[in-house]
Amino acid sequence: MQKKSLRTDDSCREDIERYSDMVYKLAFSLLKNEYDAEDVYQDVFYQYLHKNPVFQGEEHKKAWFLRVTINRCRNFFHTAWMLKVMGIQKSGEVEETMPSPSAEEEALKKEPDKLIELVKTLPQKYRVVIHLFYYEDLSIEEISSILKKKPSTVRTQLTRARALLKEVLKEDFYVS
Amino acid sequence: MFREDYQLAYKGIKVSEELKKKVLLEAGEEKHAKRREWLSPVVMAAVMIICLCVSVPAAAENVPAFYRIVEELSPKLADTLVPIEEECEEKGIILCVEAVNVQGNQAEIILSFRDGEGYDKIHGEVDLFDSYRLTSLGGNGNVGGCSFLKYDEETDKAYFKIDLRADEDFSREKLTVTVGELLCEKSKEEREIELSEYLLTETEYGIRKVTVNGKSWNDESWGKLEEMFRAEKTGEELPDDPRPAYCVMDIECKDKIQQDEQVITGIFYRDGILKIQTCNGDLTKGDRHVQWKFRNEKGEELTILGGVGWKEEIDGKRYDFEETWFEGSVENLDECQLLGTFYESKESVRGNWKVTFRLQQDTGENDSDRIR
Repeated sequence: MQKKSLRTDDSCREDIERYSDMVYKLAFSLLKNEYDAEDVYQDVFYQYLHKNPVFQGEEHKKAWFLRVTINRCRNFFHTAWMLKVMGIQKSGEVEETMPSPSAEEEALKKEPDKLIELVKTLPQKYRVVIHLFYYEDLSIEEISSILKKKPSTVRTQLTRARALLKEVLKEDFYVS
Repeated sequence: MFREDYQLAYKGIKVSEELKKKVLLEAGEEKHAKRREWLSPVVMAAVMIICLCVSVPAAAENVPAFYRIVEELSPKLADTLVPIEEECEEKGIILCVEAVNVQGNQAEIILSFRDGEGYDKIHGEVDLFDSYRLTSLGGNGNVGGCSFLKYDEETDKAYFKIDLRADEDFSREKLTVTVGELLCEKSKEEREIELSEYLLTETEYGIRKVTVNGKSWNDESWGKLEEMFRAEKTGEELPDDPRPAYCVMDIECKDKIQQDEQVITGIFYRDGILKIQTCNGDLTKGDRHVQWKFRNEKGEELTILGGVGWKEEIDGKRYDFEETWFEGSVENLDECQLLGTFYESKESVRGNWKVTFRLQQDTGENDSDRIR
């Protein structure tokens, strides 16, 4: 028998209040600008409101929001507009590659916004694991479940991400 | 530590309150939208129920095969879908099933027309003007017809009889009789026509092409009459009308004809063919027709080959004409006799009278007729 959501209007509002920032921050970390992050944010909650998903618990709900946000961001990258923008960026050898030494130096500052800018220079697949691991405090197993990847793959990605970050941040930030 | 620094960095990244409000607002509207979504299937279901309520009875009434299935499954449901209605009043006239007699594969039904309260239209012979329809539900291959039986002054009813014959014995199928038009105040008058008044001379005689509304043939004369009608400069189609054109007598009758009267416009005989043309006035306002008998000087009755009917507009008024053709030998027209039986129904009442009843086999326990 198909399960029905028993959510009320108030529970909807609570969920929006509770997961708004989480969704937005993850989208921002992946898309690297507030405008696109806002679009994804709206898409995620639109889907939540219209699909009326059934959750088995708070953990499940959180995982659902994270997974849907990641999927939306991935879809976002596949849109014609983003492909065009990325094409231009790739011609400048910025996106999906390690930053040039001059950029590193420019970004290498201790202020929080500078840290964000440095992390942004990592490839997207590393940004996801970094954000989920360091901001959302998820375990390797939880991340693997959300990304539907093997824990070993996640662990490898996280290790490489750390290595890249160490390279970028040098001694100013301690990555552990 | 990187973790603390990273979390600190992202602490300031927040969705704008404006956007959050927008989403929260959408969540509020979603509540109503959900109601609409919930209502939508209800509306759809209601529409479907209405469609079923309309289409199923219509299908049962008009698709005999469908009705047979329903009847097999549930006679009660069949009666609900196509109810028995043995009386129907419309335009102040009541159609009633008076009696049903079923014997094997034959059935006789007596119907009557009478005036409703406060009306006075039935007081003589009534003509259905071929506007009746017999629909058998649940039976197989019924054939039949309806004919006027009599007018009873005492009951002030006009009776009709329907004769039906089926391929197999009637069991309990239903018959629906619908009538679309009644011609009331029907009168009949027989009189001898003074031929000399209407005979056309050879010089007066001419033909013209008309597009006919209808034609009638003697069974044996079908091919012959068709050939004769078309032999006289016809056989071609009217350019703006796909119906065949026929030749009729071209008679100047404008001053003679009237919309509410039957007038003989001309009679002509040549080479064994006699033609009689009449104007029956405006047939939309009543029915007028005539049955002819023509006897030659020897007292021999000429064979009616058939005739055609057509309409014309003269001075903005409608007139219906007909021409009848006879075949036979005539030596002396002055000694011949033309008899006409003139039928006239002054009032035409259009409606939709409909009765439905069962053609139930007589069990033999009671009288053979179901008299009502």
